[in-house]
Amino acid sequence: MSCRGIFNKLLKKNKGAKEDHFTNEKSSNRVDTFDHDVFQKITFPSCVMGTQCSECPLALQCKRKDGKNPPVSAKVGRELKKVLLMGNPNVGKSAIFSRLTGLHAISSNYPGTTVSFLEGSVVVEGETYKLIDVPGAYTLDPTNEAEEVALRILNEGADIVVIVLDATALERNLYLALQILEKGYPSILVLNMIDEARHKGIHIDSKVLEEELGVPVVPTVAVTGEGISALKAALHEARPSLILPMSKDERWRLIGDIVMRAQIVTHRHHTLRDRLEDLSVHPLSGMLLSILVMTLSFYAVRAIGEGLISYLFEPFFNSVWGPCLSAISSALGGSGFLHDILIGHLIDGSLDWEQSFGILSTGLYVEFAMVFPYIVSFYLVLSLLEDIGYLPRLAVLFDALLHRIGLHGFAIVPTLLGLGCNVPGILATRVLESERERFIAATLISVAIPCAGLQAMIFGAIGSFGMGYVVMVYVSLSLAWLILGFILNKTLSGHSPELIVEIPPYRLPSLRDLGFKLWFRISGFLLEATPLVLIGIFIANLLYSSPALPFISNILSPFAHLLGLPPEAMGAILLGLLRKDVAVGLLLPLHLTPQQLIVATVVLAMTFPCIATFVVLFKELGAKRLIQSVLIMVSIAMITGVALNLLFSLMTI
Amino acid sequence: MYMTERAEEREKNIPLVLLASGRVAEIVSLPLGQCGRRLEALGLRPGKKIKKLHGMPFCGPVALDIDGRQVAIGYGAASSIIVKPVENDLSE
Repeated sequence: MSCRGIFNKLLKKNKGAKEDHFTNEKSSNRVDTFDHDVFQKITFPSCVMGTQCSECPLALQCKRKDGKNPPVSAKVGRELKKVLLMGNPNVGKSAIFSRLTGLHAISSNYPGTTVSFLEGSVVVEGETYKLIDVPGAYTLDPTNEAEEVALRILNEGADIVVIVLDATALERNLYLALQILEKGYPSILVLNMIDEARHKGIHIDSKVLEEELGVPVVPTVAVTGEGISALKAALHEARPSLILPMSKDERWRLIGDIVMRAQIVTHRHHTLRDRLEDLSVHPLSGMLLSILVMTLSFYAVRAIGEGLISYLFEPFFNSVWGPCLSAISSALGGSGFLHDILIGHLIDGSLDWEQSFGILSTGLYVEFAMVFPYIVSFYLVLSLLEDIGYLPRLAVLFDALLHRIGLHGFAIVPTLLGLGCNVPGILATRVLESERERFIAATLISVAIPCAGLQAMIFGAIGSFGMGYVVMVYVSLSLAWLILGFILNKTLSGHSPELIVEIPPYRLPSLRDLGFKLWFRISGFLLEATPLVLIGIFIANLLYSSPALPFISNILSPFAHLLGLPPEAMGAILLGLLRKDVAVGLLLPLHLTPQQLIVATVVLAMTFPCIATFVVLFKELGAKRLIQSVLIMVSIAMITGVALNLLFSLMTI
Repeated sequence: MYMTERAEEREKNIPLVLLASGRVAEIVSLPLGQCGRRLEALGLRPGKKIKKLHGMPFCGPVALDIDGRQVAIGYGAASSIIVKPVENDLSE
């Protein structure tokens, strides 16, 4: 018999006292009678009193024999009561968090967005609680980084643990709930998505659950806010459960009992949603659906972006900001250093939004009238797909392909995010488990995933020669992505783990959550990109009128020759270090042929990433991996550029 | 215990990837280690009934239904899950 078994048996003698504890306010003292030496050492053999309590499953119930306070109480007894919000991934923890605190966490439909936990505070009847949104976990025997973090946070101690359950998957959710309850913290169970459960024909008797587990149970619908006030009211009723530590098999048996008693499933016909859910992971219809979704998304992004530009931003720049700048320009005398920096160089006596290169003219124009509208539309569409729950299905469809390049299906999420901006894309590679995967994914994103800013410029600059040329750029980038991924997978040691993912049901997105998520992402972009765009324009402006650019271009002219580009183009490519979109802007005045423009933009897209991506890559990969990654980027960019140039010159012969 | 069962029903026990789409099966055994624990955390464990929804082509993942929830499992992991096909009555 295992240690746990002996322990449970010993405690079961006291089972008769169980009922009393339900009514007894001081139920937290229930283990007082068990003295530390005998019982603690059975369950936690390495116990040295007071030194390892943070790891001990019984720390809260433990009373030291010498009569002093339980060792953990020093940690727990702080001024603000600490409330942990715990549960499986995708059970609506983040939504409950934002409902309780009003401080808005980003709430997503795919596992992994809350790897770093969120903190907020909630006031109930004059008392302030500190609320922590713990990363989603399926079990307290950690199987990934997020679960390790969850366990660590729990072991740091808590005054109340709010355990959020998905009412549509009671059985599986109870496993974690029992593990948490076994630790003996005062707890509350939240049965979230109770509406969806009802819809699925699942009826859960919360009274029975309450009796079985000995803690308050509150049904909620977090997306609409139903039951949130009841949850707040229940906070001071939280109490430790009488569930005792047990083995895995005992736990599953107990869960089976509880589910049988508390849950009734009535038969229900298949709904349209079930159909759709089934079709979207079917090999053929799923692929067709994904092509449809991607195409629609692409057109939606373009339509919304262009709409914003032509109905909002361009009219503003042309009829409001333009006259303002003209006034400033003439006030500054139409030339001079300050004028050239702020307003830029007048072209044929007037301002040119794309070629003047003043901070207030081209700087603001590139940022707001060319890039920002696409950022807004891109994140709107992506957040919508995310909240509906489509992304995990995409992961399933793309798993076989991504497996060939050393990743698994979930890498599709960082990749898609990278299409907006490489920075969040690379940050999202954290959802991947191994260092190897993260390296491959981050390198591939930096090399072959053009950000929205760059794409907007590609469409603007190359699209005017015909869409065929734009397609060539995308085909080159995709091929590079595939080939490089394949090579990396073959050459790097180790292998990539398997995709194991729960596919959440399709959900109607909540506009509130969508709005906050969009705001979070857009404001992040503005704060981070605006200074860099302005600095980029400033430096480009200085380089224009200084001898530095021709000098650098001369040094790099052998490379330019290999790529079939004029030496000045190398300066523009180098400036891509600051902002890719600004760099494409610098290529425009060079009057390149469409073929040269393709080579230049492809090389620009693939070589080193912009400065913001650089910083994130450094943080995520470390210096050594970053250098390897950059070497790969530069060499693959040169190889692709030279190959494209050769191809074009062969085609003209 | 499983050993004798396996000897008798060797033909019936097959890896999940070989199970036909739409068939219900009972899980016999899971892979060991981290992978197995992750599967278990998602509710897959010996004795549990699952319904295979689809297997993606080119060694893609297997999508299955467990307690009315969809779960996708990569080909490698799915080929080391051993299942025993049973009659299709997933009403319960």
